Amino acid sequence: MSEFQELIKNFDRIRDYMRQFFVYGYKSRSDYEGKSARTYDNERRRIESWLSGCIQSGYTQKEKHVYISVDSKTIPQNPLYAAWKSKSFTDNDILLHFFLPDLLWERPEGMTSGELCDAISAEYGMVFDSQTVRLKLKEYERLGFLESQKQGKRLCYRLQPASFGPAWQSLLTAVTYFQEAAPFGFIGSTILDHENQENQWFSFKHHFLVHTLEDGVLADVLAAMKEHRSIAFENKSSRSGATTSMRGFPLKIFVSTQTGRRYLCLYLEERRRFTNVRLDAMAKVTPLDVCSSYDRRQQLLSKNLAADQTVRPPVSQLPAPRPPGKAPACRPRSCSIKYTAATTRQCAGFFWKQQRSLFLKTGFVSFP
Amino acid sequence: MKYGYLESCLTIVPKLTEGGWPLLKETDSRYRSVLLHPELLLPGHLPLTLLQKSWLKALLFDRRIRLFITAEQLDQLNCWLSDTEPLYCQEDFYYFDQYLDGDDYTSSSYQDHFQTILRGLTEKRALILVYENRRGQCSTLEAAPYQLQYSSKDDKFRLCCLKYSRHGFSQNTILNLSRIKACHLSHQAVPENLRHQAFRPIHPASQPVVIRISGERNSLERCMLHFANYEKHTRYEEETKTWLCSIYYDLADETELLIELLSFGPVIQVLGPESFLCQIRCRVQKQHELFYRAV
Repeated sequence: MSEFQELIKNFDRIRDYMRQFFVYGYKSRSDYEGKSARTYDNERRRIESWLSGCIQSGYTQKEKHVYISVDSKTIPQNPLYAAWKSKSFTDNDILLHFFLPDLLWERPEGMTSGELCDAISAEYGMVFDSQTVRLKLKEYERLGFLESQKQGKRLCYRLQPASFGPAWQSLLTAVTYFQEAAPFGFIGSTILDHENQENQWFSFKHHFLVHTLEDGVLADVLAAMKEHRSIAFENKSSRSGATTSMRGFPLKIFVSTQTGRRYLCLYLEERRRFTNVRLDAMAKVTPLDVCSSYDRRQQLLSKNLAADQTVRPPVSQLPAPRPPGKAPACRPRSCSIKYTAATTRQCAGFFWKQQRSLFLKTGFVSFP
Repeated sequence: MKYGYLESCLTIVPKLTEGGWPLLKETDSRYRSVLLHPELLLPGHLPLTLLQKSWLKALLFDRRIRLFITAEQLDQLNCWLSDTEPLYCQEDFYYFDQYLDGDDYTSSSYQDHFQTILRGLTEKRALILVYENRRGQCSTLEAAPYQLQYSSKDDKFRLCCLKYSRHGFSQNTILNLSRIKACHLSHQAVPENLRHQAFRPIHPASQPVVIRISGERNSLERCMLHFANYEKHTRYEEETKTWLCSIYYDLADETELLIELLSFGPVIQVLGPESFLCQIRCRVQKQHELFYRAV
């Protein structure tokens, strides 16, 4: 039996458990279907290690259940970012991560992979295979950490300049805000870690921490949108649990600030219609071919969204503030429902049915 | 261990001290770094990655960035990141149910007030504010700021501060930034324990709201997602085949929580506390009178 590892290689499994612990939290060990109890134990132990301050447990009649419970207004940073910072690494990874910048720091002209191998052996007493060092150098060049330059027959690597541009302190203050307010906020949190800074001034209301668990899927979708590609993916229904394969042209991300859901609006070529898919139900996004009619689809969607704009008055046409004593006016909200006389009557009827049920449930009034 | 996890010391410390990771050497019972330049580990020495720069470039297109940097600084940053592609575009996202009366981030007076408040926070100085209330009346007040609160639903910033009254900075207040008409730094020092106010509920309710969720019409998932930003505890009740959810909230958000619960209609039942139930009954009664007649 393999030893427990705190760090992970595959994010998808932990994503599902973390979501269940955070959003639901009532399930016990035996309620998690599809995986073994040992898998549950390992993932639970991992999550408890990462989120030690936010994990709570309770007992039902039969079993213990574990849940993540946190008020988004009372934390300076999303604790679920820990999942993105828990990628496993080998001994060689961590050693080269320190040795390579340490040696390249005083050699602005750069060093070849062979020279770096020799220097590591001389300075630190460690021997690395030249292929290992070469692959690590290429990886860091891909990440933007290093840059390579051909000097005759020699391929030299050097550190990228560590200049942070003008207004760096002001930008860092902005990062302490946007690491929660902007998409892919965990990237901002890594910048704060890099600078050994933390958020002290900003708190966030109506903030849905669980969105970060979908950022992997979101990155793949946005990359496909940028290249005007269609995508294929798996969609797991939250009601039935059934998984279906879908493909379409991703056009826009619809975000609900009220319900905590994010949707991908995509165009289904076979059905010739738009549809929305929950981001948290998507997995295994694969980019496909570039679509020549992508711009036309985008224009069609924009036309639909612009039609939605016509039912909302612009801010300059909002009604004047009501005099004191009057009931407050409804705050305008972007909404895709077009109100007609019929829908108004329907809404009133539906509302009455809702209120009637409420009256009965609260015991406030009884009806003959 | 600031950047590790609960069990990290069980793996990291033995690796460092027993030779698995030869990054430290022991001399006179002390461990020292083997690195030639340990100062590299300090902030500001190692470069950012492409992904980090790409995210920063995307921020420069956000309309709220002007709250933090001037136009000139924005041009300089665009120049610095000129060869970096933004990670995403603002147009890729559509916030379809965000309130339309959000703050005007492009207003120069709003940006000036924001900058002054940030200075007050970082320099620990009080603020003198001219504030317009909901009735349109302006008043001058002095306040010690300790937090800026942002709501994505309202698209607004709010200033959390202690208002000055007879006994000093004691009255916990939340002010809408859009209603601040003037804002200057005061010479008054803020209370020393002001930082303790940050990231704490202002008036936590003594009892949580307890609701019973029937499970009809996917109500469980809808409730769990909708109230995910609250601290809550949910358990399944075997006898009634329903779920009981306790939602812990701040009294400042009581009305909002009440409206959100009412929006779920008959698929949930509010069980308590009694004071919350009374408010629900009053609101439902008023709503009924608005549409029909007094009951």
